[in-house]
Amino acid sequence: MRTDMLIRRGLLFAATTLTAAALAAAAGVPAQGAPAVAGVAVQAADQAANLANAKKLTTVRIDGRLALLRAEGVAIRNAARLTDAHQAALQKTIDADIAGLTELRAKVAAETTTEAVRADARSMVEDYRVYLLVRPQVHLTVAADVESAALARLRTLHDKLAQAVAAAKSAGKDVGDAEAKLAHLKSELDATESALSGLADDLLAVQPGPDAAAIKAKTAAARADVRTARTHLRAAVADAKSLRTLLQP
Amino acid sequence: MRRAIAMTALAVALGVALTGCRGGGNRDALPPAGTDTGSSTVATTPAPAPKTAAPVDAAAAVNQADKDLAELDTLLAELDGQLKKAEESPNDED
Repeated sequence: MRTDMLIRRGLLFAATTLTAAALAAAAGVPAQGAPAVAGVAVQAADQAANLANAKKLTTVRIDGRLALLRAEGVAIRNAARLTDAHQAALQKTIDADIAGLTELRAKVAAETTTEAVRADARSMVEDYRVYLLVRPQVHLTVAADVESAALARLRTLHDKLAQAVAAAKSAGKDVGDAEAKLAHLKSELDATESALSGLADDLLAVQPGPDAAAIKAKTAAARADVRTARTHLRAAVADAKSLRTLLQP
Repeated sequence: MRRAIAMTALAVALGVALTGCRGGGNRDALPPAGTDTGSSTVATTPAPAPKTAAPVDAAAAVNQADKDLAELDTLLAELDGQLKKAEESPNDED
């Protein structure tokens, strides 16, 4: 009998405890809802901040490219050795890129999602390739045209020196060394011409795109050709200086 | 009348004859223009000077070479500057 009473009291206690716990749990729901709503608000604020930051960063990157393009425009207008055709081609690229990037800048400012800004940033890189392609196109083309000017000057100098060597030979002087230098000078000039052949036109024909490695390979090849031409030009100038010394009366 | 006509004709014939003598018989007249390949007359037009190479003065050639070489040194310096600007940079990935 006493045992039955104890069991009943135990069950009653358990029921009371469970009810209290359920009530407490029910009472706790509204108390835990406030942080969740606040979390959504924080998330929205984060997204807005991320969007603003993405737009700011992309705009800064576009501005850097626009500044570089304007500087390159000044550089090609001041490049005295740049041929008219190469100058026109480079100016066309620069003008088109400035127009396109200025338009893209306005598009970025109007974007409402970070995904859209990310797509704009990809376009900024892949559709223009200002650093990877345009900058080397400008400076390597100017360099190639400087080398062409030097080559023409050296060819004229070679002919004058050849005349002087021939005259010295006619006068009975020993011009064996001078003739050897002349031959070497000519071979260096021919090698320079070979390195420069089609260099600028091929480089200017490269278009921007997603394949950065392919673009880099083409600019690297052009850079190597310009360096090769420079090496031969330096050797040719050294030959001409030696000839000048040999011919000195 | 006949006599008058005869005198006029004689005068005309004499005039024509005299005019002809004056135009063709003058020994001091200038020779006809153009080449006269068949005649033995010596041509008086001076012949063009033969084209001979100007003598190459070694000193002048050296002076000219000095000027050209100075300009070439300038060109090579300009070339080095352009190549430096065309070097790869960290931004080249873009």
